[in-house]
Amino acid sequence: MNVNVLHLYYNILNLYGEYGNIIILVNELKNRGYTVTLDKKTVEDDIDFNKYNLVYIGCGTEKSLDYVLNDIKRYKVQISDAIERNIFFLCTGNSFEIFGKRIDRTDGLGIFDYESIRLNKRIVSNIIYTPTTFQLYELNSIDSAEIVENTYRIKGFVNKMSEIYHNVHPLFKVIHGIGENKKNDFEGVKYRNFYGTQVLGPIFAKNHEFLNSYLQNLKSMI
Amino acid sequence: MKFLIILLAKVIYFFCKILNLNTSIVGKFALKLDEHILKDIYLPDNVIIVTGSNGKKSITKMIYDILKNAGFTITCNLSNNNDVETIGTAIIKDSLITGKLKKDVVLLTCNELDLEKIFKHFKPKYLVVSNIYRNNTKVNGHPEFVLNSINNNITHSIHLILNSDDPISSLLAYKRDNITFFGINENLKLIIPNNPCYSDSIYCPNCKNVLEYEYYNNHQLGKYKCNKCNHMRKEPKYAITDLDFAKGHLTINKKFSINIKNKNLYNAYNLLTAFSVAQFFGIDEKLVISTLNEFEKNNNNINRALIGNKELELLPVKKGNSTSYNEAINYIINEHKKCSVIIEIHDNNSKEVTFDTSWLWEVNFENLNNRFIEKVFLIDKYNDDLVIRLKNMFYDYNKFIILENYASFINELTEIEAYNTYFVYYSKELKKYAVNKEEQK
Repeated sequence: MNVNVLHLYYNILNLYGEYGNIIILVNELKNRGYTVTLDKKTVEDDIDFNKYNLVYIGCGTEKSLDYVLNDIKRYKVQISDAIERNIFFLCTGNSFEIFGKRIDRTDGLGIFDYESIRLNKRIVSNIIYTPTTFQLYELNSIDSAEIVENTYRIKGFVNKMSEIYHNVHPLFKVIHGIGENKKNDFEGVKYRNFYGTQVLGPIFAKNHEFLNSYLQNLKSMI
Repeated sequence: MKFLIILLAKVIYFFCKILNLNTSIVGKFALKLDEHILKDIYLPDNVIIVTGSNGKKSITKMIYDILKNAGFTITCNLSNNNDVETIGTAIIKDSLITGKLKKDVVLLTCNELDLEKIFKHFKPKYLVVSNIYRNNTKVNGHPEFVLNSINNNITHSIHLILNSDDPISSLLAYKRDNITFFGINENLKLIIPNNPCYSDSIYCPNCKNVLEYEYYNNHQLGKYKCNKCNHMRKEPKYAITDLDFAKGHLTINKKFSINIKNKNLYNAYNLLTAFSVAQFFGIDEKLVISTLNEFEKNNNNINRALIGNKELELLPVKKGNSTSYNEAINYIINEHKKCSVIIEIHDNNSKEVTFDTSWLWEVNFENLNNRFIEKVFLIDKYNDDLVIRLKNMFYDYNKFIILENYASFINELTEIEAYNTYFVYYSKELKKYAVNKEEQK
């Protein structure tokens, strides 16, 4: 079976060796018997999101992220449809910020109900998280949600200069280190098959169980 | 109060020296008692600060030697740290208790992100920025963050001495005058291996339009131009017009020839930068050249070492700095010699616990898959991350051998055949085992 993978903005959102996620993902898919078609696209390229089973976006500088945001806006409807159709997305580092309502005063894609506030300093921390398993889109607030913790841990680090405030299903719960903002102990976004996290590593390099769980979910959808 | 703080700090400095303690506590102590203490010290007119990702300490040492040989008296911080406390110590120890610094020049090397703290106290007459690369991401974030931090803190009164070949750091000249550029005026035609990991030369750091390059000399260094915002390489006032690593010399402005012992591009830039700074002090070029030649001759970075009877060519790098590792790898590739390579990733003595090993994904190990390279030994005390990095390379990784520490590497050394061996290292651990080949002569 063939898996169509898109590495989006591969040459501009390219900080912290995050391309490693896509290398690991592709190799692991091949090890499991899939054939993989990997496309690399960047600013001003034509993209047909209907073609792909999985879209990956890595981390970039704040200026690069703003530039990418301008470019990706023309695909807002296509991306929103793709997410609703359960296409897999993995967005690491600051890249998932563009899917929210705002980054500071700049409008984001508005697909999710969150906003990012940029700070004038960087936040750097080793982190240990655990994945959360509950469906927030059935809930009113993440504060009232009952968190079912997974047994395994996510290890990595964050190196960011923004805080994110939202009411969307978080991907992780903080065990050690910092979360997405000072007010809660959550991190990241999980909606259908959209995974967004500030965790760097690359996350798939440091967390085989997470990679395994991600691929299990992917397998069930293709 | 100022007098008292300086006096107390000097007493502490005296005891630190006697007891062989880290003297940075002097600056820390003085700044704790009075956070404005450095502002209240009368500095000479000539204050030079050298910053940048790579080469700042070497450049500072070179400038120090030139100024000293030219008869200037200098206050300088050349210890292990380049932070505000160490700089405070250097200034206070040389100050009179009246708060006057009676030296001709204050020459400081400073971490890029510490400039903000320093500039709260005083501003230099000259600011040298060697380059801005990806470097120690835990501290520096990324190159644009460093660029913004410097840019937000410099004023028009500061004379900037910038690398014209670097599209990132040269952006500091944007909408400013009072700039002197240095650079390499030559297409060196080095093999710049395609870097599958990342590139910082694709997009303009100013407007994010695609940059056009006439040639690259390394990483993002080269002759670039942005057709949208017109950010481009400026013609440097001080330029290397000939660089011959094989013969071991470089020529500046077609006139001044300097010997170069450490044959890497950074070293060429360092010598050029020190030469450029010396011109502001009206120092006779002959004296500048003889000082730089002497510096190269006595350079502590040993080039060749012996472990047992095995001779190694040494290539120093900065810990966790993928750019310097890639520079070492490029050097090896450009030598075209049958060889083995040993690379120190994490040394035995590192006490740091970090989950940030992302820089391993920015080191171009892929380019060691070269027909000239027989074996690659990697010394890494936590090797799980490295194994995953190597296993996911684009080819079979069997030529890579991971060793947990120096001791196991010494055992392996006898297995390496008699052709060239390069050792890419950063820690002092090597010196426990190696003999400097040149000293032995």
